[in-house]
Amino acid sequence: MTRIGVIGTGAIAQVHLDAWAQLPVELVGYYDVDQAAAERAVAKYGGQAFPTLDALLDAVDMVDICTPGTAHKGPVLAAAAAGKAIICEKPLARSLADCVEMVGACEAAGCRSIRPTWCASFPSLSGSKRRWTTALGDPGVIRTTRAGAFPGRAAVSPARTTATSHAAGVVLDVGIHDLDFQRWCCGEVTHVFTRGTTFTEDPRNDHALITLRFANGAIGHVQCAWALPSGIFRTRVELAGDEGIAEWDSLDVPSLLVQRRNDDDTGVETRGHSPWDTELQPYYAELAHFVDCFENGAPPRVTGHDGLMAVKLALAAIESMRTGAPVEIATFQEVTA
Amino acid sequence: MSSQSIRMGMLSFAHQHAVSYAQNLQRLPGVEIVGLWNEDAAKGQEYAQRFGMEFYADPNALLDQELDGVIICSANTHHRRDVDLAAGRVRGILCEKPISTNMADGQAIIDRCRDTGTQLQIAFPVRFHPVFAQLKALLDRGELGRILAVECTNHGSMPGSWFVQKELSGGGAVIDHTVHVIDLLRWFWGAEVTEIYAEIGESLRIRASGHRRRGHALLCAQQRRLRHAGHQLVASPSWLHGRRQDRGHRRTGCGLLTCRAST
Repeated sequence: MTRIGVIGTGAIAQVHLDAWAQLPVELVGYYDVDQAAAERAVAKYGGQAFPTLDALLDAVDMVDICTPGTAHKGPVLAAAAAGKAIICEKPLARSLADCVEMVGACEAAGCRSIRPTWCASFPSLSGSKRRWTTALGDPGVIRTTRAGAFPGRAAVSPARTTATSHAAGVVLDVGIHDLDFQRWCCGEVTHVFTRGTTFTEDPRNDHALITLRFANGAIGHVQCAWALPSGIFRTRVELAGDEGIAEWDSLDVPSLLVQRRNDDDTGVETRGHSPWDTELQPYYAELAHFVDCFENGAPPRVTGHDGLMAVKLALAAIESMRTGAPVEIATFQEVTA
Repeated sequence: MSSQSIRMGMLSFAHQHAVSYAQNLQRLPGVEIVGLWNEDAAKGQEYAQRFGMEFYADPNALLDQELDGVIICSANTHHRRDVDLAAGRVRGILCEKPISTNMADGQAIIDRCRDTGTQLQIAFPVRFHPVFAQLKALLDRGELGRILAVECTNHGSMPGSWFVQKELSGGGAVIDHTVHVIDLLRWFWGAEVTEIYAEIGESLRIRASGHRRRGHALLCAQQRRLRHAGHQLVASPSWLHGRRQDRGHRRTGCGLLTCRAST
């Protein structure tokens, strides 16, 4: 059985671990700079807490990197040097140069795959993409929304608090999902224009509106926000082609809605779109796909290059917001702090 | 009809909204529809029969009937012509949107009505939709706090006919659907747009509606971004919906997704 190690055991790691626990893999253990956090993961999901990153790398076939976005590079380079298959949370890194170095290191080391975690596995999005390619004709306009509250616990991340930084805010953290999804649907972007509140006195209410033009002529729009009241998270996708339109909105009432107390009675677990099989849950599907790529050589749906391009689009979008002018992707140069 | 009734005439049924106006005028107490004029006489007579009103082959003959008001539903670029004809001969004009397809015609229409003492109203029925009236009231009460961003859409299906002839419509979905959204946003905050960034798609063929007129400069999709008195706004109108949506109300969504009240 493929041996999995998880690096970083914070909030997003919990989501991954819930999925790993259901997959036919050996969850070997964890490395976290906060040893107590790793021990908590042991108590909940089994396996062991490793004292060092190298010790974990010695014991596994694949690593799942769930550290904050500013702390991906070290584990990725170490895992690449050790020849491990890597799945890395988004954003791959905060700087394009780091992304290039990380993807290059993985290619040089012959890693099986480096995949930024991503929403291609969400049934709503992959279903929309499928319809786009099969039934909607030539792409016209693609509009997506991803909006929630300011991420409280993760607020310590420099990416989220240094609003004056060129690579800060909601675009790199949230909008990057949609930039990646839209690029998946429509191909490469020629230029981007952004308005938003990242560089204001109120970065916690960060809200950005990104307009994209694709080389195939399609027009993209991304709305991403941290400005919603706590407790609301909304995603929406709308694909319009010359043969029709496909829409999905997380606010839509599903055909069958199940809401039940969660296992530890701390909240409500909501499931819709019956039958929502385990296999359809996006994180599960994503990690299962990752394992499939590793074990059976299937081509990864999202590559390191995709992760790099998503960061590039996000940085270009942020640059547009900073300067107030459109940014050409082909000539975009990262502004180094 | 009593002598107290309002005497209305309809100048052109080129825009399909004329049908809605005729139906609703007939529901209004104290309103008499005197007659209609239409460029296409055969269709004009059909409409006259359908709504039980008189057809006039000459718009001046209709305007000679001591009308109180007219509703102008001609093609976009004909609005100025028809306003020029009616202003001063009626007390009020309701003109279908957009008022014009260029600023000069729009200003001329306003000036002409002002100079002749004619009440001019542009047809923006969305302001009268109860949902948007409620939204406006909610905004006026400040319930959402400081508005950070607004995203709006106005999708419909491609209407065909003169709407895809640039010399009559002025430019596809961009002009036809943007005006509704812009009007709402100006109304919400009483503020003018200061900056526009647009991406416009010109090459989409709308096969779903049976039109493949590639020779026309169709502007069928757009993304428009505005800087609106400090608010970040997006309006995204299109003609990309299929025919199915056309039977019901057009979708006009205005999502206020940054609804955190200031503390």
